[in-house]
Amino acid sequence: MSAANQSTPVPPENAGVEPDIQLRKLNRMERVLGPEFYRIFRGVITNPLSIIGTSLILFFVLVAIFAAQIVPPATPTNPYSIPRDGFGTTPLPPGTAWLRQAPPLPFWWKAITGKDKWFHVLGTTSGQWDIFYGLVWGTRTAIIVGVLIEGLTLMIGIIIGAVASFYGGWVDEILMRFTEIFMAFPFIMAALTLSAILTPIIGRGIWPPTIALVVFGWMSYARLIRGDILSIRERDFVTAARVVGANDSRILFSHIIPNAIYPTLVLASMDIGTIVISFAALSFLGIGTEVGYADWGQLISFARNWIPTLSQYWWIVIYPGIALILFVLGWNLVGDALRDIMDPKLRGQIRR
Amino acid sequence: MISYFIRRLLIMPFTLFGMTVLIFLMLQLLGPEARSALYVRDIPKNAEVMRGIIIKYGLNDPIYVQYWHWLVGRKDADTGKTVGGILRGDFGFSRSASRPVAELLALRFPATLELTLYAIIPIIIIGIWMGVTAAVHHNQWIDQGARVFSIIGYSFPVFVFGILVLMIFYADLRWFPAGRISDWVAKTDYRQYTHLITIDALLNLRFDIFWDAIRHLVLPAVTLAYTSLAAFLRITRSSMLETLRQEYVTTARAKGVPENDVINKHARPNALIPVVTYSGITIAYLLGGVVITETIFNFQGMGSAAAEAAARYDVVTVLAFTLVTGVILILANLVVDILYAFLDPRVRLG
Repeated sequence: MSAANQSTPVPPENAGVEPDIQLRKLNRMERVLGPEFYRIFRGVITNPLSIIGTSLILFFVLVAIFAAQIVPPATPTNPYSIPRDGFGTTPLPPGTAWLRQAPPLPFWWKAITGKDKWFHVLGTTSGQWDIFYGLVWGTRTAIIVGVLIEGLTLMIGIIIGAVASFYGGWVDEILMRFTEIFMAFPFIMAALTLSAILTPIIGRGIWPPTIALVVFGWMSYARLIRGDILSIRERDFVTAARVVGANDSRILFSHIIPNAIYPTLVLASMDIGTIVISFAALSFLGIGTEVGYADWGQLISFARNWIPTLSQYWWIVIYPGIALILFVLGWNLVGDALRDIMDPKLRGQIRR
Repeated sequence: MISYFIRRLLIMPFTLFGMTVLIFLMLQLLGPEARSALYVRDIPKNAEVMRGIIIKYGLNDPIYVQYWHWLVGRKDADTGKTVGGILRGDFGFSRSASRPVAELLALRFPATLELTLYAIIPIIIIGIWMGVTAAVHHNQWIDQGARVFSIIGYSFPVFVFGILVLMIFYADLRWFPAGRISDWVAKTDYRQYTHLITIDALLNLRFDIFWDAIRHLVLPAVTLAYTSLAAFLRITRSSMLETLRQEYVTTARAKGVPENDVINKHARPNALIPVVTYSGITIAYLLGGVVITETIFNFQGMGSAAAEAAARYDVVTVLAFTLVTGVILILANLVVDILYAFLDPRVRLG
């Protein structure tokens, strides 16, 4: 954080006079992180629900990082393609021996399972795609897609919101009407449409739904940052920068945005859960990644054809479902705590 | 308030115009071959015929010419009749459903309307009731319960929830059927006034049909509603909490107004103003949610039609559905805003 947020010394005119209020000593963490960030950080790590959330997120991040150690890729050139144990339609229950196309044994396998051959830890879907493999590599897909979409969405949202609020007047008016047009369509419906258009053009994969979710996802950030910039634009340091002769882009990018971006950034990072749900929903509807790609939504979509007998083949929906729910729950728990911490109306009323 | 309305109504044509431009630009991402579905039913088998169609319907004209024809239609040189034109209600042909898109829309719209109505009414009633109750009992068990429900609610993806619900209540317990109507209802002859089965059944005094329709609606309506219910509850709760902290509420309590009156007469009406605005977002969410819900439950509405068309890359159809849904949403939001203006004294008297 900037120097302005560091602990303030006693003002010089009060020198020698005993101050009425004893300024609180900042601890080391507070000095490193800055008081604002420290407050948020402390709120997150002291709220029991958000501790659960953080642990869940951490767990999934670790799985994503060490995916290749947990389950070595079956085809090293394309680790995201789930290996198939044959082509049978009936799902195999958890624990069935893995006969064809099994990946190399991971280091932990013998120690934990005591067997020297792969078996389907969480069973297979119809078509014999291994669910465990799909979930582990799907975690990586989920995090990559979540961060990618969130990053691009934020970038577009921030640029449009910043330009609108900084220039104001008719620029603002036009950009905000533009934003409203994109908001006029139901999100999932518009994203579905654009993915259906893009898939034949750029081929199946994570890109069509990613682009579609970005194109119809940036609007709320544009509005959020616009509001924050509108209030910061009038502050003295902006006038000061202008007086010194800084040009528009310098004022915008090095003075205003860094000071206004903060709430948008923190809140947006917590939307990753929702984004991953939307991505999975598109996959579930059969739009997006190719069949057999390690992606949770697609694993769940295999269950669609088995509904009348699903309780017999429960593992094809329960395991991918649990993974998706826990992932989203993690982000939402932290997001919920963050919203409480950052909401100025609630400030000071949160139980510490 | 009048200036508020004028501004609101002046913006609307711009938004509608922008929406058509956006949809049209997405349409332009397709090649002229795929766009020919706007005017002809079948994909011509040989390239010669296709070229003829492209020239005949001007599918390679400058983009603004095409936009104009897309809006108002164009004269067919052979028959002299006007074809196409979304303003005339002609959205072209759905090649995946092999019928005109407008026909498909008319066929599927009532089902979605019915499902959405049966979802939004419980959302509003239960959401407001639970939200207000949770706020009044702030930090007591009922409030914590509502919080947990709302966090779980929006962490539970609709498609997982829907599949589990189907598995339990349809496949295992056999309490509820899937689809929109039973076969015997489809074969029964009764007068359809609105094409909303529950209402038509009541108008015909056919309670057996009504009961059948309700049984088909329960699972999809619950699935569609619960995520939005969680969000609605959350908004109501926080708005009510904020209102209860206002000074005029303290004043009312201080002068001895009974607590029930403080909540029901002083706090709640004002707390519900932002909730009204939020119901516009809820409608948007539901209209998107039907895509997934209807697909899971095989409920023959607009959402499942759009999903089917999208899965077969029948873009002309999906775009028409998106545009129509967008227009419905714009109108719904207009109603919500007018309602808001009447409810909020700051706007009404401003």
